[in-house]
Amino acid sequence: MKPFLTHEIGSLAKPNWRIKAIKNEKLDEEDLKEAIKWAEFLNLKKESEKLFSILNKRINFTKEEKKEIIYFSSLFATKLIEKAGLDLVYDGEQHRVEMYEYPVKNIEGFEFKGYVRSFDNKFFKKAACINLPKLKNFYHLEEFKTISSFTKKPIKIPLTGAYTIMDWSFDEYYIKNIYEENFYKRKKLAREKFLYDLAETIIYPNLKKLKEEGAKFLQIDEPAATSKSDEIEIFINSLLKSIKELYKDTFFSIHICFSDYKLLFPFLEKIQGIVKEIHFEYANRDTKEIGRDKEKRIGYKILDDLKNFDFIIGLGVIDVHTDFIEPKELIRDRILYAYEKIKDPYKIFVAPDCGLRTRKWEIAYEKLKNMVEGKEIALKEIGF
Amino acid sequence: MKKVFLNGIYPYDENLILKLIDFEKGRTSYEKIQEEFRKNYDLIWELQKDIEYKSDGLLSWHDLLRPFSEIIENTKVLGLKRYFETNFFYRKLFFDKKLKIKENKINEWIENYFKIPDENSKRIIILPSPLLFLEFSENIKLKSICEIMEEIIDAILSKRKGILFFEDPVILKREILKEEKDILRKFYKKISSKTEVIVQTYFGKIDKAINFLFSLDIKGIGIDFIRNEVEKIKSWDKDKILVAGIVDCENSYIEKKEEIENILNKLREKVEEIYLSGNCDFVFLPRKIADEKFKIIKNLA
Repeated sequence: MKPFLTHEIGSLAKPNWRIKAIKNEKLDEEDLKEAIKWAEFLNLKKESEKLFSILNKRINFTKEEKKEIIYFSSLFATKLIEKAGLDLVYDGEQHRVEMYEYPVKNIEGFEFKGYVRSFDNKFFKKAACINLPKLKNFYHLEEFKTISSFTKKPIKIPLTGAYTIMDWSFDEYYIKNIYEENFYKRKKLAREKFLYDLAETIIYPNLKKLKEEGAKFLQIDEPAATSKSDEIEIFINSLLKSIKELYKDTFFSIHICFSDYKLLFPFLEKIQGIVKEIHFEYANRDTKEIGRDKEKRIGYKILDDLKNFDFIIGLGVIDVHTDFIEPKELIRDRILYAYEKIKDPYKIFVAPDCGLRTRKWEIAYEKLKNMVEGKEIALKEIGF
Repeated sequence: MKKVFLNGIYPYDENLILKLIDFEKGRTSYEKIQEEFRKNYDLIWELQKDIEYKSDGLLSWHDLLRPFSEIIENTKVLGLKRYFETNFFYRKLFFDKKLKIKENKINEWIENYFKIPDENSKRIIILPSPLLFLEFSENIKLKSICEIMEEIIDAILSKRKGILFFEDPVILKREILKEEKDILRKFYKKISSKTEVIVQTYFGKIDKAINFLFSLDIKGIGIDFIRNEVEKIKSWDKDKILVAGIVDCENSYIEKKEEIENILNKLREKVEEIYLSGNCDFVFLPRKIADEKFKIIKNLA
């Protein structure tokens, strides 16, 4: 492992030419220009001739053509991350709809019920479990194989965890099969059963297959982990049921964001040695001022508690909800503030707070490039 | 008239959501969005046509605090904070030390955030409780929140008739300090002298808060009966109405009629005046399911 190893968290925005083509909307001149611009920037012009010729059709793409379009958006995104200089690479979820809808579509027993609000005017399609969940296919395998063909760098595959899938779904199946008069107890028992079934029959087989195919870095995304304070223990149990023996020769990280992290601390010991990296969001809570005193680095307060555990700290240094390009000096100070607490550059991984899907590629690239440059300055300062 | 409240923020229908997604991507116009909003308001009024106190579903509210950022001078809208146990996020507000209402904007603000179907309609005027306000704010004290809310409430009541409905999950989530209780007692007493007040609690067990709630000078208390057992209500203050949250607004499972009737029958043995509502805001459900659940309680009321 490298000191202050850098990686992305998951999503990148999807290019307009990909979104429109998949949705059967007509592409305009700007969409084509955008594809050419990024192909040039990423030195992919020659390889992209096939893409340009498909996109020139503008509308009515065949199933095969849509597959090619996804292939190229995956190639572009992977190369964007590579060009920004990150140590672990990924394609920013170009194969997926998003982190919830995509896995749920690949599991039998779910039915989409409609949109619900997440914040402001952001919504997500929420499904209900209406029957026993069953894996339709290993839904991240093709993605892993495709990205592997693009790069020699190590790849990290993120995967939505069992707790988040359970918590973000309604339950109409398990609740009907639990006999308990107290409605709340009945609901809780149903959730627990639902969760463990997802961990054992959906997440574990997916992780196992990815490992068998050569994946070395697997990230379990659990943004919902702390949303119910009385369910932290079952969340931790679900991680153990999802990973089982796979931790022995695979690097597992867990990503949790916009949460009350303190709720996790009484239970973290149980996953020490199994989950290697714990990644939280910090930059969103931090000031934008350069400096290493605790007032300026207010977003990194939780490190005082986290340093007592044996995990690699996945350090969010980029706020994903703003177009503000963090200067490399700010990145440097966020990293070095953490280094003063953790004392070991191999126990800090540097990353954005979360996936960058709400930012344009231009912004995401500048942010990631500065993240890498900020890391280099930080390393130099501590003598690496 | 049906004894039902359409409590909290109500979800948009799918057409409006799809238009909003398109709008953000530059694929539709502002006028088309407004057209969908108008249709959504019409549906909300239709849903409540046989209900005395009507809500506009808070359709123009992003969360229960955000409108206040537009009416209190120098308020900054901050980052996201999870709304208790849900997957819904609020934005925290940061206040200037000197709290002041934007006097020249207040009428327009009320028109925008407290809509009514016609001039004679009574509103269920939904607001965050002072404790909820505090939970999602920075650089402001409870006493100052109560003071500025009093001013805002006076302005609202000069334009709208109705019942005030304070949403308060916080009261069940943490210990309320003695000095906070004193401030809240005074606040609710003052507000109750102007109109009827209900404090709606949810997301927790009522046990520890019930005596304090009974001691408040308010017309009614809302309880989340998805999380609370009826048996825990040993006795009820006869002067207060109960707003019973008896459909689960966090799950799409449609309760069987007998499941709800079972709770309701037990409650009727203990409480004289009962209004029905969702256990919390309906916004956590897709619109179609919210409508279905709301119709269930309307039919039972």
